[in-house]
Amino acid sequence: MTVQKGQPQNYVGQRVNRVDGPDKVRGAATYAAEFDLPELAHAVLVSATIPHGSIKSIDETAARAVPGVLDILTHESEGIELKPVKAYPRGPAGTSVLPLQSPKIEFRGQPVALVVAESLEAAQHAAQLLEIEYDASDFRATLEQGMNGLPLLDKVPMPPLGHSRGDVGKGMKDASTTFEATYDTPVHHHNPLEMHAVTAAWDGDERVTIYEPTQWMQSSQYTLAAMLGLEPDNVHVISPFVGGGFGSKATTWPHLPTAVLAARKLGRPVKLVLSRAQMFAAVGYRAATTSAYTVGLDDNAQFTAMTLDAQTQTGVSDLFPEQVGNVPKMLYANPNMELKQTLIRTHAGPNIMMRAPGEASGGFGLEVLMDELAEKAGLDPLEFRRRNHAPENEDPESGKPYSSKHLLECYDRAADAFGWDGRTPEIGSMRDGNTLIGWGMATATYPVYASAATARARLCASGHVEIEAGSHDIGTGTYSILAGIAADSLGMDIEQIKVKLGDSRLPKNGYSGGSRTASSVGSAVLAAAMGLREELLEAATHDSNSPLHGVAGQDIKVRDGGLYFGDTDQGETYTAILGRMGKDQHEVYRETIPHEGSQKQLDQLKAGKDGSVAAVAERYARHSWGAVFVEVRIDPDFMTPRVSRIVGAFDIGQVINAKTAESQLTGGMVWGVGMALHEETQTDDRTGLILNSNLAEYHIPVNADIGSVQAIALDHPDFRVSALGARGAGEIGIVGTAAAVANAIYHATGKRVRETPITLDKLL
Amino acid sequence: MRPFEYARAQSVAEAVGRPGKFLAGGTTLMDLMKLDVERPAHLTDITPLRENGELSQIVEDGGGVKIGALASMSQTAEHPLIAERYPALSQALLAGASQQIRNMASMGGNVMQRTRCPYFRDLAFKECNKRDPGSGCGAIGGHHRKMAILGGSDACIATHASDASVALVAYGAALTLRGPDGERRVKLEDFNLLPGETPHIEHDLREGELIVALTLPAPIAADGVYLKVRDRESYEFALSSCAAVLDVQEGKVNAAHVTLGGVGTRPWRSPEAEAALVGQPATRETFEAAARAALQHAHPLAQNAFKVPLTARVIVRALMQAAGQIDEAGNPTTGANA
Repeated sequence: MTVQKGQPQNYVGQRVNRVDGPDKVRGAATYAAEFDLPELAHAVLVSATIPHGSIKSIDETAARAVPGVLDILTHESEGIELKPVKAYPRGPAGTSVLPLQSPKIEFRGQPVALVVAESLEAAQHAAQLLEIEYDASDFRATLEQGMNGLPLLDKVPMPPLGHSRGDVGKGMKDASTTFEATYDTPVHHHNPLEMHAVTAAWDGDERVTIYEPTQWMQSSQYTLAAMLGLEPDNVHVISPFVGGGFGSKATTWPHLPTAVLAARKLGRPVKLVLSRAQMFAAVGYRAATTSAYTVGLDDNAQFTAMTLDAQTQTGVSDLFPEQVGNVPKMLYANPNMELKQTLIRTHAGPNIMMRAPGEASGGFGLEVLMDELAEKAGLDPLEFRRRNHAPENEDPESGKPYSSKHLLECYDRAADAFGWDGRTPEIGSMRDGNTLIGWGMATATYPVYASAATARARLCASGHVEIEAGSHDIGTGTYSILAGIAADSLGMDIEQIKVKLGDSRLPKNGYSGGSRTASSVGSAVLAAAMGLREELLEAATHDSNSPLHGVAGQDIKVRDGGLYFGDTDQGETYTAILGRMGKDQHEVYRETIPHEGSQKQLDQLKAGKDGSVAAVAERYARHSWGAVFVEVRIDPDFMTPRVSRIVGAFDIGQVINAKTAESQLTGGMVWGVGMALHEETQTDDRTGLILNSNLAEYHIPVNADIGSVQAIALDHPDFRVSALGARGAGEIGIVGTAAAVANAIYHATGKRVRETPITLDKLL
Repeated sequence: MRPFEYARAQSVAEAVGRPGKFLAGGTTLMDLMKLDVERPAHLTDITPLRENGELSQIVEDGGGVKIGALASMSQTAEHPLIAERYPALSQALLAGASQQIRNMASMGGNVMQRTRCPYFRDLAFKECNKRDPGSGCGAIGGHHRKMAILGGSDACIATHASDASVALVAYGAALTLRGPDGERRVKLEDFNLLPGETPHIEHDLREGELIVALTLPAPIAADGVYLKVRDRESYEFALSSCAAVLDVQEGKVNAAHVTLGGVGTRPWRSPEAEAALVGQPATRETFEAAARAALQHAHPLAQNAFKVPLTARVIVRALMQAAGQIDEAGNPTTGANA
């Protein structure tokens, strides 16, 4: 089903303000930690201060003596048993490590106790007085320690992550030039503005309500149900607003069951909000990576072969791969490829997806490599990429045609807007007085994940239409996007559409990650809204009292909240139709299967799983595309790299809301600047603990670090991906940007830094 | 946070002599109390003395200026007496923290600001001689990219965090301290102590004493520069900074004050650099000699070794700028004859 041609598109594709904006500005949008329940008790989580070992003893005496303390949960507490769960991607939990079930510590920051009190202040004070002694063991807290240390922990080769095609040996022999280089990225922590939080309230022993910010309500629902032996339907998750997640709120972390257990034990609702330092502990992170490349080029500067040997970090118990091979295996034409990845276990805890997992980290290495190769070949970096462009009809990874690919147009549009023609290739040749100027670019790509989805559209007697979907607005604009789709489908004013999200009792939807919500849930909302329109049209044209009685459906247009014959006034409002139907509301529920998917994805969704189709589908390989151009200005004395200008052009399919899509793309590029210049979780090698677990020392860009940022969306609908023609805007902006910054720095200074962040000490 | 006794002082007389800590803007103290690093049993809130004006005036004082200890950072930075006569101080204040913090933080509190050393701020690290004397120093054998290269000891290499204090020392600021036994004056450069074997003793401040004012003598020159290099453009501490005030007469340096930030265990006045400047022609060669002199006793470790060449460049640039030879971007100013 597609939005019919000839219908007004007042919202889809336009710049539409956030429908929830006024509430957010007025503080009327209720976030998870703001639900105030009667008898609410306050909890503080206590985190392990060693990366590996076990708890020797816990002295609760002083903590329990604090007035107002209600209980302290530790592994010694009774009645807090949890059943095992599987970690993502095998299950919906963030980690299989269960909280407070044993004295064993396998990562820094692992929850070891929960203090519950009448007030937050009493809980915080008591938590400081809890005396925990540890038996510390040897540890490997970083990728480097894991790679170079004694085999305290295993290394796990990941065959499914490997990719092999052609004959690399022959390709290397055919090469006229070969090149080797290794690229590293550090640990990153998501750090959404809103902390992880949970308020848990039991109704008897079998039903619990959870208020929490989440990107995937079903993860909480099914994980808690499995841990506690409850029916999933008896776990009610409420998550109307999410103050950013970036992957960290996609799966369930140990603080959630801990608070739920405390609430059950106390027979009172319990609220737990993590501290900023705890946002660096048991809530996932982007794993450190190291990518070693060998490549061969022929006389024409085209690839003859590429090998990538990657090592990435993970935790002790789970295996989440930071898939650095995702981009190199498909982005450029190359007949011979061999990719292998090894996961290195560390006591840093379970890692998880973080905005463009694998694509951001892997894209950095590949796109700096491309810059190095272009220079070796004596070619402009953009020309070198064009020369190795993979044609639209053949994805190098799968051999399948692409659903839609306009990468060359991204290059043209971004290069034009940036003024790339004015670049002089010599190192340090572009200056503004004393200031060095460098121009660099990179390609961006992000795969399509499309999910089964469900939605309900309900016409109310008031004339409003309610859209219900058990999905999430993680700050990306889902409320506004879905409202716009429904408004256009029904020819209504967007203010007449009320979107309800963030409640697990609403029609089921999957994980809001992988840049999929707008296209996947949007398709279900489109189907439900169009279904509502068709049923009302059916009712009107079959009703002899309707001015539209007997009019052919294809001659009827939607506008002004009703149905009209062509452009005439012959017609009526939806409420008039509803009134004659003798109903005070009429609702339509729709389920959508993603393009190239099947009933299987819908069944998975209903069973609490992901329910998505992979990027390489049955008929088409499906990716988004982009090109990012960056200007840096560097003081030659201090070598302080500053990004003065970014232009990115992106082929992301149909843009649904031009304003929120632009925010996603520019936000992604800004994050890419942070990845290039600022972001790094620092670990103390001798204790395995994090040194910068606060936002003063964990650097992200501030406004003063960002010059002008321009995002161009090409707006070619991709109907091989979704009924809306949309692919997704959430993640692609960060991919490539860090490399474009690194390449610009090289152009300005001649310093090739093959790791992030590129701080001034690496350039002096 | 641990429980504490809270009192509000309505006058200086009421505040002086009270046990525990004084609470002004709270931007360091409350932060460290939440982290359990600071554990005062008594807290005396002196913000009424800001509101009633007793300690928040900025006034002419002889040829200099007196800044009430509770004047805020932003109020001080924007005050015409400071912006016009002590430009390096105004620049240093505006280069520090964020606007919100500058609105809260007081000048007296700024000179009491404590280090950002992670081993000091996080109780999970057991080694910190500053927090727990005798426990060792986590930074020396650990992560020390941002640590001091000047003024450290085997016990502590924590960097002094303040920008404003660097400029205050360059302008020869003194503190007026009022205690139960009366008032005394201490020059700021003497008020901050070197860590030596006692890094937990940071200031020449006696029990019950309250900083009531900062006094600045008349500046030696109208122009002054605070140059700060950091990992990002705002809301970030200095990797290296320099406050330079130069009196150049007929091409020769008549008087010079040079103080470094981000590299010392206290705001780092460099008499060596000043000696290398005075009486010499105001040229790049002289400034480079001053930079070498300032850094001759630097003791970098592996990760902060970059601060030595970086600081040399910071000093030269700050001096050239203070001499009017270049602008902020390092471009020659019109008519400059360096």
